[in-house]
Amino acid sequence: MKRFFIMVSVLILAALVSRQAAAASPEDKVTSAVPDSVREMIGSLSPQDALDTTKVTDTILDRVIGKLREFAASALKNGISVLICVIICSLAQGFAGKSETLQSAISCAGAAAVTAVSLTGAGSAIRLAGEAVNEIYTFSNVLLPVLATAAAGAGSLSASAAKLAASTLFMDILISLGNNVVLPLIYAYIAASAASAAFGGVAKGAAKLLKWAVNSLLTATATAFTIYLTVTGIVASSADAATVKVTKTAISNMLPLVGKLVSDAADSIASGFSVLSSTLGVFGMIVTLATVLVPALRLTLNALIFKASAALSEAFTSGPMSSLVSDIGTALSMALALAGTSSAMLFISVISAIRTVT
Amino acid sequence: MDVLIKTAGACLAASVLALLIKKDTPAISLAIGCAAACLAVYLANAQIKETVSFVNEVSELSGIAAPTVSALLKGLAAAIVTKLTADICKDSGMSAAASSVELVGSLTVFAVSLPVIRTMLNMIRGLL
Repeated sequence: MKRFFIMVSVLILAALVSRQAAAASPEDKVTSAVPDSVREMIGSLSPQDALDTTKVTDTILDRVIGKLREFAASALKNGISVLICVIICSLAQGFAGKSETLQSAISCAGAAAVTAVSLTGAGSAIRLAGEAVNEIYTFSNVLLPVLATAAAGAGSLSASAAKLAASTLFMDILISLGNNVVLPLIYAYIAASAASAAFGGVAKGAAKLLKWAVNSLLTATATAFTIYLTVTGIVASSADAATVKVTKTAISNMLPLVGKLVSDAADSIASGFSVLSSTLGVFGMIVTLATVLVPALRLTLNALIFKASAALSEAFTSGPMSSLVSDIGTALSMALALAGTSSAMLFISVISAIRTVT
Repeated sequence: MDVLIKTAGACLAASVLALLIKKDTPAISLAIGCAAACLAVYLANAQIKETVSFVNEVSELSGIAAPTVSALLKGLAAAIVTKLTADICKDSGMSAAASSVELVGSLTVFAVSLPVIRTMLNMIRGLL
C-alpha cells in the first residue's frame, strides 16, 4: 500500500513537472502572443526563422506589395473626392462675388464636405494606427518579460530587471497617452482645422496649439524613455558585471578541483540564454515591424495624397480650403508618428535587452 | 464655344437695346436685362448638364457619398441664382432687395449643406 502511494505521488509530480516544462517554452509564449492581423503578414514565420533574412524579407515584401496597390487605390479615391469638393466650392465662391454672407455659407458647406469626405478614409487609417499601438503594447507585455528572463539567465539580472521595468513603465505611459490623449487630440485637431476653414479666427490658433501638443508629447515620451533606459541600463550592467565576476571567483576558489568546471558550465548556460534572447528579440522586432507596417503604409500614402491634393487645391482656391486639406494630411502624419513612436520604443527595448546579454 | 458666342452676342445686343430705351422706358430696359440673363442660362443648359454628369461620373469613381455631391451642387446653383438676381436688383437701383436676395441665398446654401454638416459632426462624434 505504501509503495502504491509513493508511486502515485511520483507519477503526479512527474506529470506536473513535464506539463510546466511544456508550457514554459519561451518560443511558444512569444509565438502565441503574435496578433492575428500580424499572423496574416508574417505567415508561418517562427522564432527559428527569424535570423533567415531572405525568408523574412521575401515573406513580408510579398504581403506588403499585395497591400500597397489596395491602399494606393483607396488613398487616390480619397484625394479625388476631396478635390471634387474643393472645385465645386471654389466655383460657388467665384459666383458668390463680394457677398460676405454667401462666401461664409459656402466656406462652411465646403469645410463640412471636405472634412466628412476626408474622415471616411482618414478616420479609419487613424483608427488603424491606434489599434497597432494597442497590439504592440499587448505583444510587448509578453515579449519583454521573456527577453528579460533570458537576459537574467545569461547573468544580467539587475540590468534586465531595470530595463524591463523601464520599458513596461514607458509602454504603459505611451499606451495611456496614445489612447486617452494623443488620438483625441488628433481628432480635435481635425475638428479645429475644419472650424478654422469654415469660420477662421480663433480656431486656427487652437489647431496650431493642438499640433504642438501632440508633437511635444510624443517627443517628450520617446526622449524620456531613451534617457531612462540608457541610465538604468548602464548603472545596473556595471553592478551585474561585478556580481558575475565575484561569483565566478568565489566558485573557483571554494571548489578547488571542480570549481573551474562549474564556472565554465555556467558560462555555457549563459551563452545559451544569449542565443535564445537574440532569436526571440529578432523575431519580436519582425512582429513589431509587421504590426506597424500596414497602418504606416496606409497613413503615409493617405498623408502624401492629401498633401498633393492640398497643392492641387491651391490652383482652384487659395486659403482656408486648401489649408484644411493640408491639415488633414498633417493629422495623418501625427497618427503615423504615434504608431512610429510606440514601435521605435519596443525596438529600442528589444535591442537593449539583446545587448544586455551579448 | 458656339454657346459662348451666342450668349455673348445676345447679351451685347440686349445691353445696347436696354441702354437705348432706358431713358424713356426704364421698366422695359430692366425686363430686357432679365430676359438676357435667363437666355444666357438657358443656352448654357446643355453645358451645365454635361458638367453635372461629369461630376457625378467622377464622384462614382472616387466613391464619394452622393448626398455630399448633391448638396454641394445645390449650393453652387443657389450661389449662381443669388448672384444673378442680386446683380439685376442692383442694376435697377434696389440695393435693399439685392441684400435680401443675398441673405436668403446664404441661408439656402447653409440649409442645403446641413446634411453634410450633420454627417461630419456624426463622424467626429464617432471618432471621439
